This record gives sequence, C-alpha cells and structure tokens, in this order.
Amino acid sequence: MSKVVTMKEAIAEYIKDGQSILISAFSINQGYAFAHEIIRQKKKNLTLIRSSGDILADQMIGAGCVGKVISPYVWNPTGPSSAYCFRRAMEKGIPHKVELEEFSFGAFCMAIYAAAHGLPFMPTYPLEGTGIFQHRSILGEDKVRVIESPFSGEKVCLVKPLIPEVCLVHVQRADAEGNAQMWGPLGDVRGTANAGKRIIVSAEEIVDQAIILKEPYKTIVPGFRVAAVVHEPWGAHPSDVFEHYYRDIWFQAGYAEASKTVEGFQKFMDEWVYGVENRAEYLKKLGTKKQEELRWRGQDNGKFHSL
Amino acid sequence: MSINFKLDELMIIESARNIRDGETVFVGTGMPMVAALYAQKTHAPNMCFVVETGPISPLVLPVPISVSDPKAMHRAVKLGTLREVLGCLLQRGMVDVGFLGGAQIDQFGNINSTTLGDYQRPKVRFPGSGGANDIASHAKRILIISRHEKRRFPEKCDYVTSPGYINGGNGRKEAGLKNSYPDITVVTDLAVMSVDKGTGKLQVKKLMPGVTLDKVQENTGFSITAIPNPAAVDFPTDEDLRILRQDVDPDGEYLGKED
Repeated sequence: MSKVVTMKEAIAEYIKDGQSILISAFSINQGYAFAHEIIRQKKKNLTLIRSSGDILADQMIGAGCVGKVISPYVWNPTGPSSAYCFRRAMEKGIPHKVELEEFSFGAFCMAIYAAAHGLPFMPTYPLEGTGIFQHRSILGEDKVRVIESPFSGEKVCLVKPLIPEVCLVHVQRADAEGNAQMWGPLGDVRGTANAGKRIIVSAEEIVDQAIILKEPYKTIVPGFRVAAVVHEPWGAHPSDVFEHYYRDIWFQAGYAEASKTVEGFQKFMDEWVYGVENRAEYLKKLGTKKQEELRWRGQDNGKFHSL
Repeated sequence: MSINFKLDELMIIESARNIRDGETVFVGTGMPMVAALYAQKTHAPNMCFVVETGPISPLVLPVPISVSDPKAMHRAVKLGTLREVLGCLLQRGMVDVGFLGGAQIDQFGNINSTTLGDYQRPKVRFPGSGGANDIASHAKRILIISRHEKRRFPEKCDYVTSPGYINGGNGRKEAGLKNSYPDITVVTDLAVMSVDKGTGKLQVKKLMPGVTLDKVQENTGFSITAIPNPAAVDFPTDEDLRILRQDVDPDGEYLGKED
C-alpha cells in the first residue's frame, strides 16, 4: 500500500497544535521541508525535541510555532553565530516565552534510547553538581533521578524515555510503503527516528522496493512503522545529504546575518518560507546554478566547503 | 625562536603542547579545533581526533568553524553516531584529552557555556552543553582554552555546564563521577593554570612572556595563587608560527587577518 502524500497533506494530517514532535538528524539530513511546512501551516505550541536545535529550531521558534524545547544545544553551526531567534525568546520573550529543558548530549541520547527501545528509563553517568541537574523545567523532578546501582553501589542518574508523538525524518530514499534508507554520517538518526510513536518520512527519492531489498542494511526504519512518506528532493537544504548534496554554508551564514534582527528574520522568512508554496517553489527560487554547485561530487566533502 | 607573535597565537600553540602524539583527543567547538589541528600538523601527527558529531580520526581540513563542519569529517576512519563517540569512546573512558572552551571558567575549573545572569531570565543565552558536559565528565585529562578576562573567570560560574572539580577537592567524587581527580589545565593568553588536586582550585603554573602574576590577578575574578616560581611559557619558533598562520588558519577565521 502506498503511503506517499504531499508535504502539505502530511503536516495537515499528522501534526496537531500542542503535540510533541522530534525532527531527526544532527547537522546532516535535517528536515527543513518539514519545518517550513509546519511554519506555513502556523502550528502552535509544539514541543520540539532535537539533539542539536540548529537553524531549523531557530526558525520554528522565531515563527512562533514552539512553546517548549527539549534539546542539549541550540545555535547556528555555520556563521558561526548564535541562534538569534532562540536567544531572543530566551532573553526577551520574543515572539513569546519558550520553556527549555536541556541535557548533555550523552544523557539525551540515553533518553532517546529508552524511548526507541520501550524501556522505562536508561541510566546515565552522574550529572549532580551541574546546572543540567539543578535546573528543571518541562520535566520537573522526572528530568533526572539518582539511584545507587544495585550491582556496584555507585551513584547513577536515570533519565526517562523522551517519546515524541511524531518523529519526522529526512532520508536519501524510501519506497512507497515507507521502508526508509539513510547512509553516511548518521548523527542521532538511528535513535531519534525510532523514538516516536508515529514516524513520517521525507525522502530525496522514492524508489522501487527492489532497490531497498538490494541494500537492506541501509534501512533506518521499516515501512510498517511509518505513517506517511513524502517525496521531497532537496528536502534538507541548507543542510547536507550524503551522496546527494553538500551543505550550503553560504545560505546558513546569510540566515545568521538576516536573523540578527526581528525584521531581518521576518524578511528572510517572507522570502524563503511564507513566500513559497512548497519545496518545489523553494527549489526554483534557489536556482539550478546553486543546485549544481552543491551537488555531490565525491567523498572528500570537506574540500568543497569554504565560506 | 620568534618574538614576532601575538599572545593569542601563543595561547593556541601552548594549549596544543598539552596534547601528546598518539593520544585520543575529544575536541569541542571553536578555539579547541584550531589548537588540536595545530597539534595534528606539528608534534602530534598520530593524534586521534574525535568530534561529537561522530567522526573518528579525521584528517581535519583547515579550519572547521564548528564540530558539525564537514571539514572535521575529512578522511575520518569512521563517521560514527553521537551515541558511539559519546558512549563507546568517551563514557567508556577511552579518551585521553577532552579539549573545551567556554564563556566562563570558575576557580574550580567548572565551565559555563549555557547562560550569563539569572538562568530563568538570562542576560546572554549561549547554545548550551551539547557534548561539553560529557567531555568534561569523562575525559582522562581536561584541557581548556580561553582568553583571560575578569568576566570570563568569575569565582563561581553562573551555570555549571561542564564539571571541573565542582565545589572543591572532592567535588567530582561526591557527585559520583568515576574520573574523580583528573588533571585540568587552562591555557589563556596570560597564563597556564592547573587544578590543585587537594583543593580543587586553579593555580598559576606558567606565565606568558612579559605577563606578571599581578596582571593575571587583575584579570581574574577570584583570588588566584601560583606555584612557587612559575615558569615562563616557551616562545614559539618561526616555524611554529608559519604553520599556525599558513597551514592551520590561513584565512584568519580565528586569529584575525595579518596586518
């Protein structure tokens, strides 16, 4: 059975105001097409779970879609610069206050691992004495609890599963049933893609199942776990997709500059998010010349990145 | 030996001298990337670079602007996952040196990269921990690089993102950290400090050329002592500076353009 829908349909049907959502991937394969459609559909009061918030989280915060953030890290990795919308929200409550629960990456990975494996909790190393332990917001007392290991008697922290209602993951290819394949640097995807109750996949390519079956070790989530599949070429731009395109650090640096002010951010969003109907229009705007520049030309990927 | 250098440059070179050839170094974002790259290009060609995004042992290209920069993935022997590098390497105790920067470093070597001012209503909001807390918790030795300014060296961090000795000599042990008494070395443009394992407090061990202990104290927000007769940091050679300027940071991304 084909689960292929448009991005507009997927977001309208599966993302509801007030839900917790996780957009998968750390620096690579970021689901920008998901984020932009969520922004266009003016979803509100979402809880956004991300390993590294990145520009994607920054844009959703600046657009007013997010009430709560659970993440170890939010900034713009290229520029390099602050994630300005995130800063404005935290420092001045613009466009509105955002509640933040922060972890270390290690503890976050364990909470995701617990969710992905259906465990009641996962142990992590002691966090006592740090702000991560002392300051609690969304999860309160349940953020981190301390026990003595029943095996060694040593102090252990426990984190509870972070289970998003919907998990959104962008991959290289999927078949129409949702068998989704990703390869290259996986970042957090193995854990985060499997943590959600429901999984939505967007893919650079929709392929015949025979292609999936040829390299089954690339499958990140099996189709029966997936609710919907969206065909979305360049769906991760300006982040990179291994063996498809390089990171557009010029674009990211441009965003950093623009988002320094509320007006600049608004202008950027009017141009690149509200001003386009969908990803296809976004791509047209990006232009074929830029696409050619960014298109994958081999594994020495670092060489093609320079501001 | 050269006298034609900036203290910022010597800070990077001196911090890199703390990395030994063949060691596994978990490198944080910013200045540590530059210094680790310098070490890889000079005395430590066999160091194993590890970055929290997942790359293991990349031949880093000059010069990554963050840990997620593909330049830090170049020719890696493995492009792993967060959980693999943070769990299987770092938490397991397989990393020799954790190399970090930060917005504040306090008298016990704790690092703040989260917020300045009140946590609920921060004056300045920074990115947060990322892998920094993990790195400071588990690396065998902790190496910190920072410019030396009073506001960067308060008595107590506004927020402890990454643990040093927390609140004193036994702070880490009481918190339950397995690596209870690690070496912590802080290299700045004024001095090299390290934690005294009895008190858990930073002490001046070396001074940068031309810098006095009084000047260090003037630029430090807590009362700082020195070991008897602190040594002077060795001057860089012309070759050290050439490598740093031409091979490590040719575009002056971190060190500013040459005049």
